[in-house]
Amino acid sequence: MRLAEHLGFFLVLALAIVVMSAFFSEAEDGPALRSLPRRYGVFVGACALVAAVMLVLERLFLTLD
Amino acid sequence: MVETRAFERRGDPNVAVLLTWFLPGAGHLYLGRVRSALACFVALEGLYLLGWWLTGGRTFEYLDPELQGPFATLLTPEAGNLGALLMHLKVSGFGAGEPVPFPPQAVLGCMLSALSGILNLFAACHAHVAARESRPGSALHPVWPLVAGWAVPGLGHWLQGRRLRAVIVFTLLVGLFLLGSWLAGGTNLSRERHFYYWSGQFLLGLPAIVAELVAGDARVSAELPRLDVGLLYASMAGLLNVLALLDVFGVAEKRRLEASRVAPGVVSA
Repeated sequence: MRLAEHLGFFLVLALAIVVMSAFFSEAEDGPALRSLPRRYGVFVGACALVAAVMLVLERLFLTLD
Repeated sequence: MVETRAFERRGDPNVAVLLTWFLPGAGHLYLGRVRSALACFVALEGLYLLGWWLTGGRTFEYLDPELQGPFATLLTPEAGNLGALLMHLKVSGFGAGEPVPFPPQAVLGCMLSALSGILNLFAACHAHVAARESRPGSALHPVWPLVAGWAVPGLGHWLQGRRLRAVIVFTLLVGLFLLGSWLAGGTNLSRERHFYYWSGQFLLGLPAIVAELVAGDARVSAELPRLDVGLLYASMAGLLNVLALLDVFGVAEKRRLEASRVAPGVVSA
């Protein structure tokens, strides 16, 4: 699969995770929906950070050749 | 100001939950609710035994040999009815390891034993609330929106009057499940093929059950390049429904206990 496809699938699933966690955290619909952009940004940003760390570790320690 | 009666416990809610987890009805018996205890025991153990009988006790033979171990079954819906699961493992285990065809009703049998585990978790919730309310509250018991929300994602919110949230939850979770099933070519619907992913998506309730009954024996005639994504999506839809159920339960529990504690006619200045 191409990188763009991977990213697309990730962003769709991330949206579902963020919406459900917002509903879990906020009892009222208004605050839950308003908090979505911030939550989505934080979630995607944090996942990108984890992915970057994993790529760095892979490059440093898991080179097979 | 509305005066509330002293908070009276019928028993320890955590003990009631643990007892129910090990044996359906035991928690209610502990709380002195004999009829509920009998109903839970007969219905839930009966459901498990019927599933056991239909599968010939071979549900856990679906597990790959390298995954078969003492803790391998704890990530299944059957673990919600722990006593029955332990008995199942003791009597039938993981089979003899010989390649024998599964009985024709194995799919239905698996569903029934899994259903017994899920419903016993709801019975445990019922016992937990029953232990804490001083008298039956006038509000809807939290277990009913919980069962509804499991059966149809979003229905629990709908019954609570939270319509917008209900529509969003249903659209998001059922959409995710359908997209996942499409990407996986329907192979996610078979417990024999994907044992643990199936356990996750069973938490989505009727959409997953109906889809399996209708299209659970999908034939694979070509490569499925997005199989992993499909399995993940369908399983995540079920797991995210647990978050929705916790939200439903939190609100329903609060309403019920408040209604239970406020005694009618004891209004003071």
